Amino acid sequence: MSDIEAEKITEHHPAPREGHEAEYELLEEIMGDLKDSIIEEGTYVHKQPRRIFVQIHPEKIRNVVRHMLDKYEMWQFITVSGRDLGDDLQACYHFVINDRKIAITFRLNVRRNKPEHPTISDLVPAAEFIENEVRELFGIVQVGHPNVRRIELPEDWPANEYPMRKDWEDLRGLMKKSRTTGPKEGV
Amino acid sequence: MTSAGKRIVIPPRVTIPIGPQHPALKEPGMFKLTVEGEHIVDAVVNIGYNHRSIEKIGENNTHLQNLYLASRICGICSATHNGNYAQAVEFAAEAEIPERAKFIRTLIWELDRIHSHILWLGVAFHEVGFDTAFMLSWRDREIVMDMLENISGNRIHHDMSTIGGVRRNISDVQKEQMLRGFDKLEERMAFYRDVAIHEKTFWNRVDGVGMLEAPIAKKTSAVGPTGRGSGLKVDVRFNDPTQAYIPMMDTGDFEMILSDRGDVAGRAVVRVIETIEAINMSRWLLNNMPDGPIRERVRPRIQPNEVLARHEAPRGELIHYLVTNGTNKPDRWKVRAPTYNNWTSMAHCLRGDYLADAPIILAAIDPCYSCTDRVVIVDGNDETMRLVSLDNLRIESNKWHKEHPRRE
Repeated sequence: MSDIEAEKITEHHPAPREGHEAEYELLEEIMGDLKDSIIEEGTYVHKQPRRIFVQIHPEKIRNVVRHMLDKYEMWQFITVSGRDLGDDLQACYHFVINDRKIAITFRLNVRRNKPEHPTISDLVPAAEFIENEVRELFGIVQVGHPNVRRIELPEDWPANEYPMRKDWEDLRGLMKKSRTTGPKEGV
Repeated sequence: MTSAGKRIVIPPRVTIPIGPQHPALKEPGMFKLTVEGEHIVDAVVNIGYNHRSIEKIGENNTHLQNLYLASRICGICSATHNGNYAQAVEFAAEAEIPERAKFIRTLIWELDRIHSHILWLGVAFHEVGFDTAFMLSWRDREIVMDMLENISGNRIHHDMSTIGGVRRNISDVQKEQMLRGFDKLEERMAFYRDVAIHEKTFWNRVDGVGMLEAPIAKKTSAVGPTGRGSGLKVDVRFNDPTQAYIPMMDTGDFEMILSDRGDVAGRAVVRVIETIEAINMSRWLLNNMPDGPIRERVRPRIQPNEVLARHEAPRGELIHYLVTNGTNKPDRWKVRAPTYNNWTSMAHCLRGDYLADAPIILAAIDPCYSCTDRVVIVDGNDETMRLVSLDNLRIESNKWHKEHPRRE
């Protein structure tokens, strides 16, 4: 197991402070305001200009989004990307703060055996379609979604089959080769 | 029930599903419109009839294979997907590409925007029954299509970008040819701008139709010309420039095209003027193109990284969220095409308008509209169905507008 730990290379590339002052300023403001919602590990300013990634507690997503909407007018919603991390499933909520021209991503990890977190579709109506899509492709349930319906998959698609999860089909053994998520258990 | 006196006169509410599919065309969508008489009171958008699971396929492909897969996502704006995926991989690898490659890539994007906007303009003219302008504008679109074919070898799937640069160079002869083409195109676009704004045939059909007020547009995160037609400053070329947009925006010669009208007319004006701006941008790119190599070698194994690549496609902001894992294949690749965000505002645009205006409102966000080719009209009371082709609906719409020349 220790070999695997050593081999694991981080996919987070924090930026140096000079050249990214605006991003660091924003991130520090957010960290100060939302101390108990943010997990420090995985929260950083990316090397690519104007990108911030923030890791949050899944049950606090509504607090975070409401605060950001009120304080920064973060009205421009981009999308939600689901991700399969093995034991965890991840949902990345991408937003843009247009006044500061910074794209900010809130990531939340939910357990694979209980993939649930509160919805934000009532706060951000633009998220309605994509949250439904993430629910059916990854099986991440947004509790309290106002309009649950099938978006992408056929109507006769079997329940409990989530095609974008890595274990749904692993034809070429990609998970075994992955150096970020590590080898999958039992393979 | 049998008495003739109990005949239903006017059904109070009728639901009209438009769509969902046509076997020959891509991106089918279904729009369920509830109408009261001629007024649309509710609209529901259904998508997902053509989910091809490109993201899942992409996870099993190498980055180089994905470049060509990405450009097949959309036939009209294939250069944007192709180029944006290439720049996402380059961001992840932290690779710098040669200056000339950046300029050529940006040039292809802008040419793509020109042909896409002229295509939309033709479709819009067609939807309001102004077929002369439709045919003229598509004739002039051939100028830019020929340019694209000249420099990339293909009319549609250009595939110019590759990881680390572009695949083909632009010679001096081609540059001269293109500059001549831009002069012609600019003259024609100025004509279409005047047609769109001053010609009553077009203007009366789009003025005040499909209103999307700025607060609603903000709430539904409208992007691209749909958002800019409502006065939102959403243009990635200005807000988050990459490639050759960085030196281009530093000159300060270009400005974001905005309209605060919020109706279909606003979106049309934004698109037409943006085309002229795109011609100027292309000319600037050609005249300031530096010499040098066009491709840098990038190792196929990309270091673990996560990037959010943004790019302004003709229809709005295009996102490629790419997570790499140290192999030559992506760990996760998420594509958000601009039309996806505009669906949410669509329902609001349709509400309160006339059924006869539905074709132009649906066309106004510039979806790949050709999918909505068949219409089922369901009678709300006795649930009889009749099939109407979209062509017939268009003819009926135009007839209705002829009989009702001015709304109040």
